[in-house]
Amino acid sequence: MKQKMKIPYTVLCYMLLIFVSAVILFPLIFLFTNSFMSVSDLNVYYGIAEKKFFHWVPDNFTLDQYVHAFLYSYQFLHSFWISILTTVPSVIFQLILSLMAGYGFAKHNFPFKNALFILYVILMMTPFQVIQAPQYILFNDIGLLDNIASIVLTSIFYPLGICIMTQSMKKIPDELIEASKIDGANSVQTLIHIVVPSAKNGIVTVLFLSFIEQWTIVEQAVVFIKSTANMPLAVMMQRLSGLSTPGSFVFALLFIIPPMLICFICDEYILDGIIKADLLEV
Amino acid sequence: MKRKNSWIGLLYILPSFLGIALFYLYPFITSLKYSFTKGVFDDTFVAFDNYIRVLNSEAFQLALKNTVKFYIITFPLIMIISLFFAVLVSQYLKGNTLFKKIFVLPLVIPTASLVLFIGILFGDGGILGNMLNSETNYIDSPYAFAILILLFLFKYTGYNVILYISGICEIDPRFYEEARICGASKFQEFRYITEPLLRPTSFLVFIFTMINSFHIYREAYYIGGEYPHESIYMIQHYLRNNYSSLSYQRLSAASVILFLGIMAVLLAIYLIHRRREKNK
Repeated sequence: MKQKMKIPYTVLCYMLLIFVSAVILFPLIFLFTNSFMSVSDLNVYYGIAEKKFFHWVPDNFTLDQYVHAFLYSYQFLHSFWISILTTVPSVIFQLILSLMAGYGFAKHNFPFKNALFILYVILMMTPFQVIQAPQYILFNDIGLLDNIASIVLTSIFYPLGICIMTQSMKKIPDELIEASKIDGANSVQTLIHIVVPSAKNGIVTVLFLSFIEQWTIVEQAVVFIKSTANMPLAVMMQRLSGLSTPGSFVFALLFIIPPMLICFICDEYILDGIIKADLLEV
Repeated sequence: MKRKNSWIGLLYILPSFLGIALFYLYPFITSLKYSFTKGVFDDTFVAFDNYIRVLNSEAFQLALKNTVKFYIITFPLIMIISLFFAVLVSQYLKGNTLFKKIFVLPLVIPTASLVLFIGILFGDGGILGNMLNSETNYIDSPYAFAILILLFLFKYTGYNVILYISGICEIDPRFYEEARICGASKFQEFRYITEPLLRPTSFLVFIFTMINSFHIYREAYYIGGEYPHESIYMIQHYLRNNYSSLSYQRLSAASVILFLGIMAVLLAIYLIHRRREKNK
């Protein structure tokens, strides 16, 4: 009896989840098909005065918008490059710092450790706007205003990665580390050969989150960066695209691709065990 | 296990600490100092003048009202919805990774890329307007608030579902077997097993949602630019505007108020969390 009752529930559940998935995939598919719409059709369907609806299948498939995006939109390509230039170093350095500090917090004891960790957590929970003015003055003093280094530096030291890594490394058994020390490995060797390979979940989580964070950076950029030439794409997207602007759909698609790639690379780790630990427990 | 004190640990922390001290701690303390002085170059101590001025300003009150409203509506919603889907997936579709993969996507899709979609739905001559036969641009109307909430839910529910699913996976299946033997209903299973054992995960989800909510400025920026409709004028906008008008004193005072607000909420949640853990 009970077994039979279960089937309709499962079907209902599938229907609900398929519906939700459709809602999630809707915008992606829409952007994709519309990226092949010709520029003149963009005006016909999505022009300012037009009554709009989702025009799923373009009347004629053209590469108009791609040509526009790749050949005539210097600003878009330039900003894309700026975004890569700011995202890659910030992710790499954040990862290195998190590995080091995570190891320090999770596997060492030293005076004021808990106080220090709580400080990191508190700063992690501080919105950027709280410190934007003094940061601005600071960057002004050291001459990094309107320089992409400013948005890289602020994100490198954002403590979220460290907090995640600390929790992730705490799950590595102490015996493993003791054993490697007995084998004669020094602290740095232990970190590289024992701790790093065992902290994959944490590494992937930090990589994933810091990439997305930096790729879509807005609030720091609009404060520290003045010139369009140094502005990352996340901000320029708002200025460059509009419904009937040629190339917009292609811009939107291209902007999704890097985070999507990271997501596919990290896939299994993200899905299996992001971080299950308690963030505030030292 | 007790480890002996070692200064090596401190060496590992040092690089990050130097950066954090320079780029986060120092600005933070400066902000605190500004909030009590007359001007950036005028160190006269003015006690709580800046705070009083901020609290009395209409713009701040509007921003505060919107922000509190936003949190009160979104947080319960997002927690309940994500828990609901997580239970659903892990109860009926165990081992199905396809849905989990799809649930990650919204976090990965930048809001910037969704703007075109939102424009067609809610913008000038958009689908909603056509359906309701009105000429309103919903993005620039009091409805912008609802759009912002929808967008926030769209973006961050999926990731929370995945956090919850991995929390549920860690619950010992024997609890459920026993409950089933005792004849517990699905609801009772949830009420007495799933929910209490998921509290640490709930806490984590809460923290993540909180951090994500700081970025609400981004979502608001994409749908409304730097000066959005007043219904989505958040504390972040207030700070941003005071920043542009160079009133650092007011900005700093507002920053400190915001910070204290966040810390108060966090502390409350943390204490509740701690007490429950102890009672277990």
